[in-house]
Amino acid sequence: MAHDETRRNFLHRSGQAACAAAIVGTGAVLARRACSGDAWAIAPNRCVNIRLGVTGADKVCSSCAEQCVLALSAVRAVNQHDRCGRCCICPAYFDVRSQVGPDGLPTKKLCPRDAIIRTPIGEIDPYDPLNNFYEYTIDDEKCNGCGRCVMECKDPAGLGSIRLEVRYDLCLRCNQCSIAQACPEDAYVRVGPQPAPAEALEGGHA
Amino acid sequence: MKFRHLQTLSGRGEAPDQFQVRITALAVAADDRLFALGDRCVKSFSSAGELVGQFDTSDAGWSIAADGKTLWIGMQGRVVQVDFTGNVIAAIDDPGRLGRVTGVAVAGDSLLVADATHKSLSLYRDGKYAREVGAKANTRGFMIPNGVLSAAYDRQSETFVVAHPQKHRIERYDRGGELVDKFGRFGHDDPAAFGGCCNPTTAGVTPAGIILATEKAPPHVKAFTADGKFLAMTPEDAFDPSAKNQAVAADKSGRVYATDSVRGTIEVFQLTDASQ
Repeated sequence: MAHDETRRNFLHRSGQAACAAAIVGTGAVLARRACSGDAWAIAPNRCVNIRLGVTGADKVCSSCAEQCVLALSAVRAVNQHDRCGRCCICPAYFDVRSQVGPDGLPTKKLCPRDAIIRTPIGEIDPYDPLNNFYEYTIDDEKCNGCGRCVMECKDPAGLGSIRLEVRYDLCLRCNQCSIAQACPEDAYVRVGPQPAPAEALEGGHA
Repeated sequence: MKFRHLQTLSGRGEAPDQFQVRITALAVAADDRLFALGDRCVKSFSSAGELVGQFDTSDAGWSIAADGKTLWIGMQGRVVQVDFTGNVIAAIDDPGRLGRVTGVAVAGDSLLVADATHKSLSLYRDGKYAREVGAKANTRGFMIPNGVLSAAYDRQSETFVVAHPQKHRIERYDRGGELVDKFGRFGHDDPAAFGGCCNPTTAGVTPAGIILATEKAPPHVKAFTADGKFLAMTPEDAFDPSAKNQAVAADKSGRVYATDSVRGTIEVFQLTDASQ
């Protein structure tokens, strides 16, 4: 009798354990499947390149540029033109700490990939370069989201018109995003299955 | 010359000498009384730094200038002349032409009004619009990414002094509104130059004719001779690193007042010989 009791208990416990394992496993698979399509976004109040209080291209974090599984990161810089000052000497375009040339402009550019295009607006004054407005656009084919321009454009040095954005049309939506794992500030966050609508993306790229 | 820090006035708070939200402009009267414009009021301080008066303004003010025994206060679409207790004497209401008036300079019957909304300078004579100033540039006016256009009057040279941030220079206009001089250049390593995208941010003049120019990122006040030779710069830690668009004014004793937009304070400096 006691032998039957022990056997029944053993079978009962084994069944419970098997059911629990099946439920947990199924849950994990479903959760993983549900999250695999999730979009990612950059939290501006955490990202060191975007948040206020940290300035200077020497402090830039290049995790987005270096850690993405794509050859050219899905994170790109976008210039919001209605906020841009159209400065003659844009600190995101020029390396403003480089030597000043005979034309009064810095001799080096800031972007290591030469991904910012500078175009004079309207009639050009050939005698005084300071007398012109300039439009700055990001070359989408070159930008790798390194964030140098974002760091230099933000307040108080600049107007903060350039920002970093996850391009949803490029992002593979990896469940284990390598940028998120590498981000030192936990600024690369999962935002759910529906990507947030891009704000004023039109015109932000060449 | 050098700037020596003397004291800190006001600050952010609810004490009588403090501003709760913002401090936007400074002016020094002929008797060396300091007038500070902020929130919706004007507070006056003695040269020793004590609060000696206060009156409310009809709207949020953006700029202030002292002339004789009156003050001119720039607001949205208008400039109001008041006495030192706040009684309105006259007003220029020109909302169709003027936006946010962030700079006012007075020269006798002439008033130069700096309008940050339209990025333009308007000259008024006897309270009537005379002409736009500085509109000949290809850029169709002033390039002010910082959102502030400032102006001051230099009694020594009888010219208006204006900071043009994106051109990295100080410009002088005669009382007729013609550009007569300019100085300044872009540069980061030379203290005489203006760095970043858009400096100097604001300008002022001491009674002795020394030009004061403020810079952001990092914030400074720089002093130049009338012909643009660099004289001195405030210490690195004088302002919060994120402060910008500092208002600046000076009295006959060589005291220079500059606001810190982040802390809400007025920093007081003495402009002295380097040997002192």
